[in-house]
Amino acid sequence: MALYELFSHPVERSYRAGLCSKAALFLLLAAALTYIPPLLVAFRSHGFWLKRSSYEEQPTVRFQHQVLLVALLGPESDGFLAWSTFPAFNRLQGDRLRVPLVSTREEDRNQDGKTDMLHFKLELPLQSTEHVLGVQLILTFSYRLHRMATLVMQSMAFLQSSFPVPGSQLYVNGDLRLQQKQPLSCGGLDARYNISVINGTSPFAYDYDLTHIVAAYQERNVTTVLNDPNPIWLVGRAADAPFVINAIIRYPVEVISYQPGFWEMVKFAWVQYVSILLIFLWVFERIKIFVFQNQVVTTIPVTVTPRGDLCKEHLS
Amino acid sequence: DLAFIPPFIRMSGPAVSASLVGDTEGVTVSLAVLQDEAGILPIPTCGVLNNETEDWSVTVIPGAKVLEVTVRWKRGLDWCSSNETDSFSESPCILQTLLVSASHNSSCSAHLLIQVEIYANSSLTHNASENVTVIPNQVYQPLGPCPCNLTAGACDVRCCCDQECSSNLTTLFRRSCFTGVFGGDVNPPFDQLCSAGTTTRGVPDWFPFLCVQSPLANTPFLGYFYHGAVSPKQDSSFEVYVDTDAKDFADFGYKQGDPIMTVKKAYFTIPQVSLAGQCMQNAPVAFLHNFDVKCVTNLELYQERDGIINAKIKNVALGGIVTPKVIYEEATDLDKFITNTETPLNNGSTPRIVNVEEHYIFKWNNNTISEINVKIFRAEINAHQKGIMTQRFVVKFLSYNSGNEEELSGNPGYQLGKPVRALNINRMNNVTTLHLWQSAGRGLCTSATFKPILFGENVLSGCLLEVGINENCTQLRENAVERLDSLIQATHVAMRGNSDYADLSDGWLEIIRVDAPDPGADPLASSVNGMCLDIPAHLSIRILISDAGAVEGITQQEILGVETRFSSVNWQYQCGLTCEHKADLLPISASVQFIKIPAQLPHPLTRFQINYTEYDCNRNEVCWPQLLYPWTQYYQGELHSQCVAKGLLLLLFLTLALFLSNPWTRICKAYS
Repeated sequence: MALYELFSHPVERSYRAGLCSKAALFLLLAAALTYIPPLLVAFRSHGFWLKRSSYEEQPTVRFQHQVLLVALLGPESDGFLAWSTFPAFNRLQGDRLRVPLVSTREEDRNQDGKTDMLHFKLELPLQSTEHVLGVQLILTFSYRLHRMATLVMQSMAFLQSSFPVPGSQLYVNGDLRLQQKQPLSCGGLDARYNISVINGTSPFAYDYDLTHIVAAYQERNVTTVLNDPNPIWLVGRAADAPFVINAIIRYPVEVISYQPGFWEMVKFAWVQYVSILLIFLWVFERIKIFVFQNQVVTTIPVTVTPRGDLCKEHLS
Repeated sequence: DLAFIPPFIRMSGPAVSASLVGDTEGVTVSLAVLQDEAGILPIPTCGVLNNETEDWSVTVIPGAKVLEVTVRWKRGLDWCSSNETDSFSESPCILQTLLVSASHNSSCSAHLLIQVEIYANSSLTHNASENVTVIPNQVYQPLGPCPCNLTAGACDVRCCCDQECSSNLTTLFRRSCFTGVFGGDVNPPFDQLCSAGTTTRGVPDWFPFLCVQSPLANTPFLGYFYHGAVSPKQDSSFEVYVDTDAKDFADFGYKQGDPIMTVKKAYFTIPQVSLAGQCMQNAPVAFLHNFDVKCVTNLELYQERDGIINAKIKNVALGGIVTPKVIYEEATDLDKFITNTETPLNNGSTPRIVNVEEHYIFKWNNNTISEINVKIFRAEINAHQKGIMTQRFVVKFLSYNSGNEEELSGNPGYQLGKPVRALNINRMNNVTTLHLWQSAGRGLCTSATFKPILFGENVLSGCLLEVGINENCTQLRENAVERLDSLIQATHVAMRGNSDYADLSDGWLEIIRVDAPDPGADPLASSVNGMCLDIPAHLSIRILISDAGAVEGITQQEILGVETRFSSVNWQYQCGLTCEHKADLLPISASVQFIKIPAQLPHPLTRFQINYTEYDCNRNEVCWPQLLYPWTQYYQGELHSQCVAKGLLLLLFLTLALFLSNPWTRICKAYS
C-alpha cells in the first residue's frame, strides 16, 4: 500500500551559545543587514518620501459685489469713464464718473450647495458721441477651500479687453482658476490672504492704480485668475444704447497640490519599506539556517521537546 | 467734649472737610501751618491761631450739633503747574502739615491734623493728544498690556501697570487702581495657566496635572482685536455710496499716509496718475508720500485749477493754518509741453495762462507741516490754441531742518537705484554723477539728453550720429570720442554712498580709463570715400561692486573700481545703386555693467566636489541628509516638534512589538 504524506510540521531546533560568542555576533550582524539595507534601497530608488500630493475640490466661491470699472473712450473724445463700488474711488473721478446698471446672479447648477457660475451684466450708459474702445474690470470674490487645509482668501478676476473698433458689447465666458506658487499645508486654517484686493477705504489715487493693485496681488502665493481664452467684442452700438459687459464666470473643480502630513508620508514609506524587507528577511533566514545547520559558528544544537509553556511557568 | 471726626486727614486735593461734633456753642475754629521736621507729627498745641493764612482758608458751616469744617487751598491747582518749568514732576507740589483747632473760650478743646500732599495734576498740565502712547502691532504684542497708560513718558494716575510710575508714586494710588477693560492690567491670567491655579478659585480637580506653563504675555487675547490691514467685506450685496465725507485726520497732527486737509475740511488735491495711466484731478495728497507725475490734457478741455494760492492747509501747530508760498516762473520751451502747436491767427483775443509744471515742497516737522513752497511754471498761450498739453506735478516732503545739502546715495553703502556719485577734480563744474544717453525723438545724438547711472542697474543706451559720404575719418573719430567722453566727465567715483565731495581721501576711486586709439592714426591710407576704420563707437563702463559688511543687518555695498573702455567698429557708407548725398547714420552706444565680486574668493571646486553630490540636497533628490525626511528641517508641512512627537510614538510601538516578539521569548526560554 502506497503511503502518502498526509501531514507534516516543522521540528524546531535551537542552538545554544553564550551571549558574547561568535554566534551571537553573527546574529546581530545578520539582523542589522536584514533591517537597514531595505531602508537604503527604498530611499535611494527615489520616491520614498511623499513630498507633494494633490486632491480635487470645488471651491466655495462667492462674488463679493465689489466692482471696479474703467472704460476707455475714443477716438474723438479721448477720455475714460470709471465707476466702482468704492465711494472713495468714485469721489476721485469727478465728471468721469458714470453709474452703470449692474446685475449679477450666482447659480448652483448641480444643486450641491456650492455656486458654480456667476452671471454678471453691466450696462454702461453712453452718450451718442462716446465710443468704448477698451475695458478694464476688476471683480472680487471670496474663495474658500475646506477639504484639507481651510483656505480663506479674497481674490479677484481681472478682465481687460480692447479693440480698435468701438464696441457695443463685451462677452466673456471663462473660468476662475486657482494659481498656486507653493503647496497648501495639509491642515489648519490659512487666512494669510483674507484681505481685500482693493483698499476701498483709501482716498488716495495711488491705491486705485491698476499697476499697484496687480503688483500687490501678484505678491501672493495663492491667487485666482480669470482664464478666458476668447473674449468676444461685439460691434455695432445703437446711438443711445449702453455699452454692455456680459460675463459668465465659472467656478470649476480645482486640483490642489498640498504638502502631505506626517502620517500620510510615513504610511507610504512603510509600505515601500516592508515590501523590500520581506525579501531580505527570507534571504537572511536561509543564510542563518545554513550557518547554524552546518555549524559555521560553534553552537550546541538542542531539539526542543514540546514542553509547552516552560517560560511562563518560570516567570510565574 | 469736642471732637473732630476724623481727627487726622491725609489731603491730596484742593479741599477737605471734617465734622466737629459735640457742644458746638461758641466754638471758634482756627488754622495754623506747622513747621515740623519731616516724618514726625507734632503734638497738637494751641499756638498762634488765626482763621486765615495766605494759602489756606477755613470755612465753618453750622449744622444740627455738628459743625462742618472745610479747609481749602486758596491758590488753585494751577499754581502747582505754573511754577514747574518741566512738564511733570514726581515730587509733591505742596507738602505741609496743617493744624485746625477748635477753641472754646480761648481754651483748645479739639484738634484736627491735616497732612497735605498735593501733586501736580498731570491731566491739567498735559494736552492728552500730545504724547499719545504708541500702541504696538497687536499681532505681535499682547493686546493692551496697560490700556490705562494714556500718556507716553509720564505717569498716569491710578494706572497701576504704567511702567513710568515710580514706586513711591504708585503707593499713592495703589489701593484705587483702575480695573476692568479700560483700566489697569487687562492681561488677566487665563484659566489654563499653571500659575493661575493657585490664585483662582473653583479650579477643576485635574488642574495641577494638565495646565499650561507659559509666560503671562502669551495670552489668548493676543491679536484678538486685530482684523488685518484691510478688513474683509463681510456681507455679499452691493453697497454703493456715490459720495462720502472726507475723513478728517488732521486734528491730532498728520501721520504718514494721512490725507492733507484744508481748513474747509476738504482734501488738499493735486492731480495724480491712477487707474490705467489716467489723471485724477481731485486726488488727495498723502502726508510724507512723494510723487512726480505727468498728466496729459487736451487744451480744449483744460480747466484752470483754482485755489492753490488760496488753499489753507490745516495744521495743529502754528495756529492751525499754513498758507502755501507760490512763486511763478515763465516756462521757456513751449514745445516741450504742448504738442501740435498750430497757433491760430491772432484775432485779438486775450491770451490764456496755463500751468505746465507745479512743484510742491512740503516742509514737515514731526507730525505737522511747517511750510509749503510752490513753484509754478506758467505758459501763455493763445485762447483758441488746440493741442495736447503735458503737465507735470511734483510733490516732495522734506524735513524742516534739511537744507540744500547734497542727497546721499546711501549711508554708508550704496542703495540700489540711487545715482552713482562722481567727481571731477580738474574742473570745478558740478559733475556729480556719471551719465548715459536718454535718446529722444529720432534718436540722434544732438537731441539726446542725459540720464544718471544708477547703482546696481545694468544699462545700455545709444544714439545716432549723422555721417555724410565725404566725412573726414579723423574728424569722425574725434567726434565720436567727444560724444562718448561727454558721458564720463568725472575723474573719480565715490566708493560709498556717503563719500564727502570735499574730501578726496574719503573713499574716492579714480576711474580707470582705457583711451581710444589716436584718431589721426589711420591703419589704411583712407583715400576711399565713405569708409572709415576703427571708429570708437562703443563705450563700456564696468563697475566692480562688492558687499562690504552689514549695518543693522542690512548688507552694505560699495564700489571697488570703475573702468571705461572703447571698442571700435568699421563704418561704411550704405547705399544702393545710386549714392545720393544723404547723411548715413552711425550708431554709437554706451553700456554699464555692474559686476559683483564676492568679498572672499571662493575656493575652486575640485572635480570630486563637483561630482560628489551625496550630501548636496539641491543637486540630488536622494541626498543622505533627507534620509529621515519628516524629521528634518526640510519638511515644512507640520511643526518639527509634532513630527518628533509622532515619531517617538511610532518608535514606542516598534519597541513594544520587538519586545513581545521572538528573540526575547527565546532568551527567556534559554533562562529556564
